[in-house]
Amino acid sequence: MQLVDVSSGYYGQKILDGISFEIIEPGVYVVLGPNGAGKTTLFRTIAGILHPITGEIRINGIHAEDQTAREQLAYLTHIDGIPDGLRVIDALKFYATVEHVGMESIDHVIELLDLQELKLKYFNQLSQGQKKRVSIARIFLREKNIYLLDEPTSNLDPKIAKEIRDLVLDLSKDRVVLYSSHNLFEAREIGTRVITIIQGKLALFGKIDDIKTQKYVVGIRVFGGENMPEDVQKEGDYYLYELEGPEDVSQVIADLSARGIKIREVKEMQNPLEELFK
Amino acid sequence: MQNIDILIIIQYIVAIGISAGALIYWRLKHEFKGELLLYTLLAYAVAIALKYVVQLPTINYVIGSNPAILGLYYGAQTAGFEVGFSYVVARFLARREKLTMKDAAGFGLGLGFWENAVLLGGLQLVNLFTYYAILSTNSALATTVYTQLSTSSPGLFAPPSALLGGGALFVLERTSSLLAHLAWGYLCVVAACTRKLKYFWIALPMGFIDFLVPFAPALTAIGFEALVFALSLGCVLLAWFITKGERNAAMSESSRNEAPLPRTTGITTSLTSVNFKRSINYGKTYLILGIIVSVVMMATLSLTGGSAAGAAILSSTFPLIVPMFAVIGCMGALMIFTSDKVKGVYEYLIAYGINPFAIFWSIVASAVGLTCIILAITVPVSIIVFVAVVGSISPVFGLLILYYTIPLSIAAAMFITMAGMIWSSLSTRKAGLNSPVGAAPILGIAPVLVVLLISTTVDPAYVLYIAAAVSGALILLVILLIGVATKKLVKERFLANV
Repeated sequence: MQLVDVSSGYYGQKILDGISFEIIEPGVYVVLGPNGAGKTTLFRTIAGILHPITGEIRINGIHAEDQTAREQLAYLTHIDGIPDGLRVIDALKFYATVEHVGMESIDHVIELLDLQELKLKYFNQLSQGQKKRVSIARIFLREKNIYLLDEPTSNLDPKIAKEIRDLVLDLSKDRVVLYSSHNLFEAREIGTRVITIIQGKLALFGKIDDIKTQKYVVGIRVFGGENMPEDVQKEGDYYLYELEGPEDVSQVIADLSARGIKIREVKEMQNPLEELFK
Repeated sequence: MQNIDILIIIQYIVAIGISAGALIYWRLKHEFKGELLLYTLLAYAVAIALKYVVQLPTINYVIGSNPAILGLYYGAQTAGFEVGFSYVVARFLARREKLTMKDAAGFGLGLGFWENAVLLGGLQLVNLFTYYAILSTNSALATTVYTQLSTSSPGLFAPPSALLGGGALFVLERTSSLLAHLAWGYLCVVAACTRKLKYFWIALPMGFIDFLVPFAPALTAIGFEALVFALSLGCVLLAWFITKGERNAAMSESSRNEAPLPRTTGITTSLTSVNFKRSINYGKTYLILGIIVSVVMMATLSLTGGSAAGAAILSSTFPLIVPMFAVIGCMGALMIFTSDKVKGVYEYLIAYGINPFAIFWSIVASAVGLTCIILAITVPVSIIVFVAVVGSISPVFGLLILYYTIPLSIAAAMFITMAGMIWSSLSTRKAGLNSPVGAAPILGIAPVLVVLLISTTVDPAYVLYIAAAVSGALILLVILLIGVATKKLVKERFLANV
């Protein structure tokens, strides 16, 4: 994948400015940047949804907006993109029709993303995490060469997020995965190379070790909350825990259970990245 | 009074079926781009318009002259304008990477489709239906039409024994025309894509097939049609064999560029089918409303003032109001579009390589499908009610259904769906106007009301022509809007949160 001096944006207004990089080897390339930096715009431009204002994108030497190039790309954005009023199975059938694959592929992704119990439910009845799983399932309907994953684990509980990351790591053995995240811990776990975008410009295209580390933060929503330790910070309905990594989550849950606290939801929080770039 | 034999109508339907069938078959089999039909329309329409422009002031000088001069006159125009413009359009598109070798046969079939299924087939078929319907009425208008036709086109009233042979020759003639257009259209695209002008120079003389036209009387009908068919078939075979090397080169180039994945082509058909099913489910309230209200209206009208008066009202009024219910009933398609846009579905579809043309077309086709459901229920039911009340079908009722209700319902549904999609695409969530569904039925029945109002002020004999003209204009407008919107609307317009 080759980007040459790509500027892109909406209605002629530039969000990305003069981005150039080339990806030759397979692997996970984590796209980092603060909110509004242009990560989603970058993904949309590579996916052919936005036409570059200047510059050119080539996939295996073919113009990115060419159908042959598009067929090599899988794209996942933070919008579910599931048609309204459909059951999960029908939503998967809709995209299977678009991808020209059959029931075998649908059965495969149902098993892969553990959607067996959800498949007959209407999509709008699902929780945020379940919706995300269905949305992710779509990109595995057909094998691709390049995967553009825009915050695929946001709103997921740590267990599912870990499973998704494992799937991505498995993919990346012989495919290119562009993976955007707000979570630096996640970035360090999954990727070895990083593309950082700041104010629409390419700030770094290099090794992930070149940037500083940050704590792993999970948010825990509980029933009641009267017995919660007083020193735990709160963001909305979520109590925030700064941990060394996902392996510490089970210990936190055990501690809270010992206090008689019933846990409603655990999710990885979006870690602000602004400080990284100071 | 003698009516047109149904065999004449059948021969046109067969000829149209061959051209349209070949095009549809190639579309399903080889999945060329849908826009190709618009491009070929452009090439063909400009060529035919120029032929008329040239012939209008010059035809009198050559008509009746030596057949060879007349033949050159016709042949040169077909070669220069039809073949020439096919190449100009193909070259223009190939330079912009809108046309590839894969589209060559589809391009040729498209040219043949416009000539045989539309200009010389479809339009004439509409005329024949009109004559047939008018001559069924035994009215003063029917007598006038019969007198005119029996003088200008006595062949329309020939006995069936004569029609069978003529019909077969007509079908052969249209098939020959399709083959000739296929041959030169194909070669023009190959010439444009490979930048090898030699293919164009081979295609150009194929237009001189019209050189034979003035010799038809001398050759007899069978001899002439057989010769033209043989030459047309020869043109296709020649085009196919001399381009074998180019096809092989294009295939190996394509396989070099292709990813090791199956291609996702033929999406338009699938998307249309899926969206049609969804639009039935999504807009079922509107669909049921459209059907129920029209049936209730029909029952009310048929019972008004006793059977005779009810029949009169039913025959003259009911067909006029059905298009309004069709507009209401087709809202499911527009609802699908606005909902999918808000839900971000189009972001994914565009990423999959589906272009806005396919999206617009699938929604418009779904709206037509919904309208057909309403018509398929209300029209037969109204005929049954009519027969039950009166005992037979009134010609006026039949004519109105055929030329007013059906075309105007479909045209109004297409128009409001396309207008609604453009409205939704141009609106933003902030403006709160993303869903035009609320106002769409009001806008959609406007053309129907306009026709109704005009109908009250003109001679009833012209009502059908007005309805047909408005329907045709609306359908052309929709085609134009699809083309313009595909070309001019930036893709950001299809995203949910921009």
